[in-house]
Amino acid sequence: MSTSVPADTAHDHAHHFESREHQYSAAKLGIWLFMLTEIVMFGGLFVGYAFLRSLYPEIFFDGHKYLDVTMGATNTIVLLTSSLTMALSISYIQTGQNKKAALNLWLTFACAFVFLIIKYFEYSHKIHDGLLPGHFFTHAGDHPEKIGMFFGIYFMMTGLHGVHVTAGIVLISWLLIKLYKGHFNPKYFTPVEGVGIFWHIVDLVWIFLFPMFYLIH
Amino acid sequence: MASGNSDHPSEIHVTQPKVFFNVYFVLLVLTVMTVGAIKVDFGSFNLALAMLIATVKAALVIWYFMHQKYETSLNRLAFFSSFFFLFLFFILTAIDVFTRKSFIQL
Amino acid sequence: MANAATGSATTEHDYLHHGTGLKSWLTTLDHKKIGVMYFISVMLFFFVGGIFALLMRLELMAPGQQYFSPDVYNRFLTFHGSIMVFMVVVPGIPAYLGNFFLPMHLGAKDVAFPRLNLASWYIFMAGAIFTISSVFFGGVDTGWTFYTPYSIKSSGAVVLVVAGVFTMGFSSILTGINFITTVHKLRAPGMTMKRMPLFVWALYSTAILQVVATPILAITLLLLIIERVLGVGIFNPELGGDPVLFQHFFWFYSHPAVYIMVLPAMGVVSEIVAAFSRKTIFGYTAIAYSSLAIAAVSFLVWGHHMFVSGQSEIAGLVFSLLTMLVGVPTAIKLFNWVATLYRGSISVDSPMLYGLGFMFIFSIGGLTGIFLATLATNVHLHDTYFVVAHFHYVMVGGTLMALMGGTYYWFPKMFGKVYNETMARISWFFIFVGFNVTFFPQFILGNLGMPRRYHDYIPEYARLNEISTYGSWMIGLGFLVAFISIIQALRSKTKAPANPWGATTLEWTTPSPPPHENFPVIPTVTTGPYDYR
Repeated sequence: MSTSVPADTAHDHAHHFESREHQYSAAKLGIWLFMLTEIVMFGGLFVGYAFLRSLYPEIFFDGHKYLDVTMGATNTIVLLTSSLTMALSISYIQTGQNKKAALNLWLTFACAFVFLIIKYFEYSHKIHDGLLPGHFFTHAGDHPEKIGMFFGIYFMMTGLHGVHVTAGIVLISWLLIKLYKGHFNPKYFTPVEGVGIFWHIVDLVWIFLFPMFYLIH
Repeated sequence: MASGNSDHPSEIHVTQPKVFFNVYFVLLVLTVMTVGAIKVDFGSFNLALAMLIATVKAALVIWYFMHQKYETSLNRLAFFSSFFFLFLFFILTAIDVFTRKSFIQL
Repeated sequence: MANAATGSATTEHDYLHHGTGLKSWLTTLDHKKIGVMYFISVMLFFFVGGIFALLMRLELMAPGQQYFSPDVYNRFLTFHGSIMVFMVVVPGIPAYLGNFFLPMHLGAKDVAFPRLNLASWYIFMAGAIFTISSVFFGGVDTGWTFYTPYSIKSSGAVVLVVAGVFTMGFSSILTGINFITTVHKLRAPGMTMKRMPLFVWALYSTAILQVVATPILAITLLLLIIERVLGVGIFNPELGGDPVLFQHFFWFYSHPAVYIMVLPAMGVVSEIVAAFSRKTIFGYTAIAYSSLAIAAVSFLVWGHHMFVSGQSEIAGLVFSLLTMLVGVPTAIKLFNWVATLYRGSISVDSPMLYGLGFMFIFSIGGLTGIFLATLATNVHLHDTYFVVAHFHYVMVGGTLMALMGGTYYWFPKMFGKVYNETMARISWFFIFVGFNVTFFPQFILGNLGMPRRYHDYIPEYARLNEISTYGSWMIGLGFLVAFISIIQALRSKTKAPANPWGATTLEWTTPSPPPHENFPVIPTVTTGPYDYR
């Protein structure tokens, strides 16, 4: 490490990095590598879906009738909006407009909540009607033999997605706390970017889940 | 400054809010299209169409919202390689699942 | 190699004395301390897994039931496998030796994300506790592969074990992310990728596998848990699912996993062979790229575990062909090591004994892998003791040998103490000979038709099983002597010099043990890592 460095740039990064930029660059790589794992993990479920749908198209056709397209489409719009506000908040922090950034983080937070509320209504409706996975399926009516598998896959994929939405809510709350404490500024916003990229992955997954489950022809 | 390490951009790009709003608008339009498309019968092409539109939406989110347009090539490789490995997983499993012979009941 | 501070006396405390008490360990951000913590945990779990192995071999010593019922035996084999795979061989070298030496090999002060590194250890321990605690809830008898439908129906504590493995998977992923980022961002000035030690290339390739493959294990185990609890139906034939699909999901991770287990070991061998031949490694570029090649090809071959499972013939053909490919980069390494030895100034200290032992045993193990990759032969050998012998040759004879060799090689650096070479050689002898006595007969037993995961067998197999059990006692004795030698060394007063072996990688330029910050001044690298003159 060199000699005549102004105090703030000597201490604005961890000791094993040379500079703030160096640390930021490493953090970004780490963040993208983590997103790789999220894509592969969800992707595994998508691969499973692809095989089951090609082997048993009838259960998907039957099962999707019980999904509310309006609620699904609303949730899609809600998440897309939350991605917009999340991305905006980062831009605002980068340009020193912390108040606007906070507003947009709150909007993201609110959208995430709305998503979960709509999901709650969807899930409770299905539970009430006995549209449940595997041998818990009790809905009366004319169904193909393996219909329980459709709802198993549906709950598994939307459920894991919902867990990630919840995690996102926790992370966004954490960001808000740090923002109000003054931790973020145009020179330091790495956690906001990290959470933002995570949040966009959550949006990405839903962009596919929506047509895959709700819009089956 | 940097050692023999890989790239890090000396300037960090800030996306203008206007860009985000434009992308958002396109995403909304594509969503409406996706919902509208199921009203038309394209046969087995319906699924492909829905996936295609979803892929375009995803690409927009990744390129602009997630800022990949301005990312280093290393970070791009790190992220996009995930899709490649998923593709491998799917293809080799498909070679099994779709070439199984059905049993003949005697 | 480097024009850095030499290994003579420093005014700074070494890393072991940086901070006092248990708290300074449990809250440390120092990659070296974290490496030592992994060392202790992994050795502890190896001991537990080893006890199960000895008990299994005790039962198998003679035909008929001696001590354990089939149900108990099945629980032993599941624990032995799960503990050894997920708690010893997967984390073993990367999390322990890798954590300690990757930053030092690069001339860095730490890994890229030190807090994540500590979190990795805690997550690992949490997963290990889940898994081991299942012993108190009835255990698990499915085998470490958890094949459906039995794993869905078995009455044991499957969810607990699987949750533990799921958790440990995250530890592996985080370590992988840390290592990849460290290699890309924290190399010292002048250290191009082609000047990195081969241990780093091996760890880097391993890290790619950890990051890409482990998430599929995560989703597979999650699906299994949900299947048991809710009945998704994807893997359960009663609900219309496909058990072979489970195997595809499982082995997409678990095949790369075996390379997670063996690649770092090969990296250690490269270091040892160069140091104890006092010679530049032959074919540096070939060995470096072969690590990446093995990692790449490892994603293409998983179906060779499934030739007789109900997989289609075409898939079997494709996977068999692809599997043949993986022998090539592996052989390249072996040839280059031998070429390094040729006309080298060889000293057969215990690390080198382990390195040579690796080369001999891994050759057998690797070649028998090719036998198993051949479709027709596999039909005869699948699920027999031939397979058991094959993977123990590569895992134990391979990875564990390298782990021991690396431990002895780097022991003076890590702890600043000198171990007793005679004891180390004695323990090597018992481990090496005992290993072959235990597992070579198992190749023959498998070929004769003895099935794996059975608690009993026909009397024709008795003699070879008896010999195999004697071998297991030799292994146990060898590790006992090794353990004693390490404890004695830690308690001895003799200080180790900075560079007892005269090796040329960067860690040997620091004092033994190294200071907290590794390098007070980051070195500038001007040559390759094996600049022996």
